[in-house]
Amino acid sequence: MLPERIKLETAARKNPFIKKSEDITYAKRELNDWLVEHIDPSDLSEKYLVVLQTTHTHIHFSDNVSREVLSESKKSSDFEKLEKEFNERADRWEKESSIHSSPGEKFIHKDYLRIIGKGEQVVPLILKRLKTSKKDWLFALENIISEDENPAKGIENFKGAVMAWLEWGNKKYHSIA
Amino acid sequence: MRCLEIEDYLENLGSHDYDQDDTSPQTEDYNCIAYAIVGITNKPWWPSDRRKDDYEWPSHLPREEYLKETLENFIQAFGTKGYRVCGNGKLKKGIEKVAIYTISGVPKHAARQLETGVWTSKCGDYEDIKHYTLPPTEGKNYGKVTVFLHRRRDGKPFLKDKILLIVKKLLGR
Repeated sequence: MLPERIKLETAARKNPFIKKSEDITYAKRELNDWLVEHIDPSDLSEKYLVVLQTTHTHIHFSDNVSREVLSESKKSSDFEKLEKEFNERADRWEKESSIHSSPGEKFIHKDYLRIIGKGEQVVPLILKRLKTSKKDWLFALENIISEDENPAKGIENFKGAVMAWLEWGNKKYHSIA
Repeated sequence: MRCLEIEDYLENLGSHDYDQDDTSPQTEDYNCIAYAIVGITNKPWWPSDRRKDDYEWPSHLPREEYLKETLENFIQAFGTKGYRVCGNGKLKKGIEKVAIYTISGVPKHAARQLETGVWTSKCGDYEDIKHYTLPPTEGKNYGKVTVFLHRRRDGKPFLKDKILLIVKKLLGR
């Protein structure tokens, strides 16, 4: 008998809905129906969490046979879009704001404000940029992350604040690519 | 040599003569105010009330909120290096002049006059440029020149300041 994991992977690969559908709800419903038809729930009785990676799609199974499809392909594509937009705005901000000596003028640039407006989802991207850029991305972080959580609170110099944020980022996001 | 990048942001610069030769490289290490007050240095000058260690500012002068900086504060800061308000930017032998640019009264930029009469500006994080007159650097980003300051190039105080100093000593202040 095939081990449970291999069996599931094989089943998932054969499932046509994973590859075709971009609609998470639809894919989830179709996948559930398909699994009920093709897999005996008793096969999944052990407390078990399998993350099956098939064409960027992760499927989580647990012992009570609750099945959840998280469309990582959709998430991944959303993140790629976000990263692309972030990089375009960040590059433009770094270039255009450089004409100013006034820090306030740098920070009211439309792209910088739009980046802040995207909230916590852009924090890993800002931290990644902070590793190589000498521009002041700290103001954006200070305005996205709550004051209580600000790891650079009270640090009055750029280098020290950058180190504190990167350390905080490594803990919070495990690693910053 | 021209710098098209700077011309993109100083909309009146392109149609005038200016020079980017023999200048400092792009750097965030100092800004136009530092460059006007003390020349090339390793710290920007700004009355920033945030990350105070990164911005030089005379300790007895107030730190101010972004975009609410006051011209008076800048005049006082230049004053610590011997600058006093004067009426114009005309070249005068032995005198160094500075022009402060503002938008709605808020300082945005400063340029310093060289002995030749040419002005020199550090354009934010970009390189410094030499411009023959002030209007080419005025515009949407730096606003207009609203005040001129001057000091003696030999570092000595003006006669008026000498007299004030003597009076203060006599009064025991």
